[in-house]
Amino acid sequence: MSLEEDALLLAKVELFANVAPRRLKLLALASSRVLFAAGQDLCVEGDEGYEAFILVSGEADVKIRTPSGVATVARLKRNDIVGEMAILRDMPRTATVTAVSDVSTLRIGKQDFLNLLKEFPEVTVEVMRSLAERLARTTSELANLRSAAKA
Amino acid sequence: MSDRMEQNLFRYIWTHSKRQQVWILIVVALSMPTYFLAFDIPKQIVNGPIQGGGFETPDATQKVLPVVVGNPFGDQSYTLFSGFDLDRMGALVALSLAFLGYVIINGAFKLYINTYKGRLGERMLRRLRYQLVDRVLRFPFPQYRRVRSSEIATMIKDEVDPLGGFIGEAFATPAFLAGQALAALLFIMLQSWALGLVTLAILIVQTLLIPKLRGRLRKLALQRQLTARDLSGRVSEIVDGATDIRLNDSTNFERSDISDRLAKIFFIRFDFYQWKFMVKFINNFLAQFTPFVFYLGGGILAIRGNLDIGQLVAVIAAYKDLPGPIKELIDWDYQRLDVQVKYLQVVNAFDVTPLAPPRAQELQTGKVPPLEGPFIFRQVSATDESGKTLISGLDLEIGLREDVVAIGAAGDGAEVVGDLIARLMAPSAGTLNIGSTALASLPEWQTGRRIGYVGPEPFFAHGTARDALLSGLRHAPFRPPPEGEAMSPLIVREAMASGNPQFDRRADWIDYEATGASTEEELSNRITQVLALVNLEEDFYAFGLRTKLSDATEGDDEEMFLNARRMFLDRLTEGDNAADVEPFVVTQFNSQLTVFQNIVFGAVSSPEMLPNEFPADSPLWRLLAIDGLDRQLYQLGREASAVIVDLFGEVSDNIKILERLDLIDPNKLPDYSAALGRTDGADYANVTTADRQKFIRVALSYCEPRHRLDLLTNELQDAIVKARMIFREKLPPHLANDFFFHDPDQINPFASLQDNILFGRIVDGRAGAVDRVNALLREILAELGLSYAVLERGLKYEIGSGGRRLSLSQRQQLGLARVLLRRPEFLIVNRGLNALDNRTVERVVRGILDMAKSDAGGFGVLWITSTESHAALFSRVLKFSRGELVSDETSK
Repeated sequence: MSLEEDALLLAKVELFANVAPRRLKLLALASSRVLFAAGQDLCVEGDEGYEAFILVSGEADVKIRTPSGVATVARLKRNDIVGEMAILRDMPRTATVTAVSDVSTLRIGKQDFLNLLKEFPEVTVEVMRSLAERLARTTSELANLRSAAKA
Repeated sequence: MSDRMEQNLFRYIWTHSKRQQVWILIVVALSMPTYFLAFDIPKQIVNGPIQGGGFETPDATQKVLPVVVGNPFGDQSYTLFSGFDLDRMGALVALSLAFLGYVIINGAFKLYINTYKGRLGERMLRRLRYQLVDRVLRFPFPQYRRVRSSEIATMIKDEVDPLGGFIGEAFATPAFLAGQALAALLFIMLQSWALGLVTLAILIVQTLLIPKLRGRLRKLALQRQLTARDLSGRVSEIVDGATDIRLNDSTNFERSDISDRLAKIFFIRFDFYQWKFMVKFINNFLAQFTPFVFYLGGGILAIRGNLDIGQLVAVIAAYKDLPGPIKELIDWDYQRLDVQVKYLQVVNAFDVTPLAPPRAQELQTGKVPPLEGPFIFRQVSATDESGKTLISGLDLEIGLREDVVAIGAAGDGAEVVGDLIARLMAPSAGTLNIGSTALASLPEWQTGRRIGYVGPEPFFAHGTARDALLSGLRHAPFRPPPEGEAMSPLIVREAMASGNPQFDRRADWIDYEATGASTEEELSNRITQVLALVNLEEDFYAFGLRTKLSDATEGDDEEMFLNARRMFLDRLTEGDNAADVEPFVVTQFNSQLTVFQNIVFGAVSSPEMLPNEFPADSPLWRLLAIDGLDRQLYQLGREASAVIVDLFGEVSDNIKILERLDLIDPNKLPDYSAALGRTDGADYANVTTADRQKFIRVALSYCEPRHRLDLLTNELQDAIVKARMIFREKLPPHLANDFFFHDPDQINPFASLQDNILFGRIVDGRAGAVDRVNALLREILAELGLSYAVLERGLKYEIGSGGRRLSLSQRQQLGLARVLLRRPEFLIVNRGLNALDNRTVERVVRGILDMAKSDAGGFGVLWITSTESHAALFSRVLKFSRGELVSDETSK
């Protein structure tokens, strides 16, 4: 789990595809490795969020509370990023993310992430793209759940 | 008695010290006869025994030292004692001894009078200072915004100081000096009318001219006082506002402003000196002019035989005693005018109306009656100092047990309701009652205990967090001071003599009853409860865990903490998360520690022993050089530096990240870059000591999990553990007291409480490890009954002046806790938590409302805020807009 490895890992994250390697190394240096045991929450819906996580290994489920109970809306794998929404604006976490297996992550602090967005507009565009995708996905999941509830 | 300050200094002095002043006058009068008699003796000695007057025959005798009482209204005199019958030698001895006797008696009088005057002056100064501070405590609230605190402090401390010296002199000195001068003058007159008249004429010129010349000095002195006071106000503004001044790059304006003021002061002072020395010159000239007349005129008279030489000598001797008193009298007069002006200047600044009447702040040790009836606003309006309307025509009733939220943006009037109830401002129109009485008529000793007010910027005096918490409970000396610490009778007597109160500062002023606690333990519980309520308990608990054990160690706790360490280790290894902590094992490298911490494997007494601080010639360098460790560390440091310099460049925009890494000081980045260049490819043997040390320091701060440069090989780790043993053996004796090595069976006084109990470090990067460890730690400390001991250590945290060592949100929480601790009947929180995040505020509000609604110790709440976020929690919601109450809704 050295700096070099982390920088390579970041480069594989879609969001950071266009960021200069040296900058990614700096981001890696500012970040830290965090291990979650299976069943542990990376973040909890409604909590304040100060950090984003990139999955290095293992898998995690994204769950939201609905009137009809907790629904799993996505499964995160290696190189996926989670938690960036909450640090884009000061709002509580919109979902709970729970480790399915032991999960190793790279944690990026709020300020470091925001600085990166300022410096690299490409990253901002990527963030927007991923948010839009997630919105579309969430909407369709919601529609499915609704029709399932009706049935 | 009117509550104005006396404008006339003399009347002030007379009112407070007439008996003493009269006594001094009497003593001065008593001292006069011997003083006068002492003049005559030299003449008698010279004319009699020395020159032989009256001893024409060898066995002639004379009566010396008769006691004669003259009648001032007639010629007759009564001889009480006709004198000793002595020969020439005997007379010389007797007269000389008499002279010596008079000198001693006069000296004793002088000593007594001066001591008495000094004490009198100091008492009056104490009284005056006390009265001034007393008035400050009774100022109307808006006055505090108008005055500059440092100016008030300067006035009380410096400006009244000369008054103390003068007060003792106010009546006695002029009497004494005038008496002396008159005696000397009278004596000269008796010896020679002509010389006496000349002396008198010059005296009159002197006493008329000099004070005139000094008028200008007085004006300058006044200006000097005002400019100096202004300067101290400005300087304190610069200190208070230093951050903003520097952040706005306006330091040079401040420099020029200060220089400008100093110039003004310089010219005033220079002018002052010019005049002062000119006046001195004239005064001295006039004083020396008289002897000139004596020598010339008296000499002519003596040569012609119109004046005997003994008389002339006596006149000159008497004159020696005249310029002194005269000069001092003139000085006294100048001082009188000066202090009168100063006094007036100071007194006017404190003559503020309306002052709170003294009985509103009377000391109350007994029970204070509870509030009665709701707060009733009838057509209440309020304006700010500029006359702008803040609220108009408010009709409102708030019950004492209601929980109300008042919502409005700043300036909309919501906060005015709180300020009015807290009486921080007074209505400009309308009536504000509590029950059937005017709120304004309640004494402060009732409102200050029954109503709680928390604004957005609570103030704390310098001290510990505990002091700050308890500062709201210091109402009166409830319990006498500990044995042997009470005020001594002398102190009490002096306090009375100076019109100071006789409350004992060392008594226990804490109103335990107000907190609802009757024992020390219950108070501890209350403090814990209140801190938990405002969400501050964790913070102080954490402070407590971070304190070094050497700070305030209580002996018996040590064994308990060792117990806690053993229990912690047991529970940790039993549980599933044993890997959360990497324990301190002396034979193993600890990856959570820096290289330096691994070598020392203990704690240091002071920051000077840390790798960034210890000097280039420290003996520690030699310890590191053993077995070639220095070469390896140099290599590590150099590699780490190379990565950092490569990533951050010579000038870094990412200073925050660099600072967080704590490896290289951002300012020294160029140095490191240069050093890397210098040492590129160089053999270690050829590298300068300075460059070696530069890189070794980086290596010493290196910690693999934090910096992740993959530089700590297994071999290096082994070498470091080996070095650890050598370090322990070879540490020079004079440094032995600066290091305390980790020992499983011993408390480490230089290490934090947390390090002592964990006896290891929480492993970086295990999610939830910190929370799990903290939970376990709390569990164990609670089991051992040490929870409060830890919290208490945290509460010993010095919060700094005004609480500046706490964050704004912590200050706000502490301010709220302070008020809650004294269980007010009605709590006003005026944007008192606006620095906290919403979720925390909600938790605090819920807690407070629960407490408010409880049957025992319940209270009313007025919560003033800008947002509607928590409105749903309250039973009644008031909304304000543009100074008016626009909605008032009560939920069931």
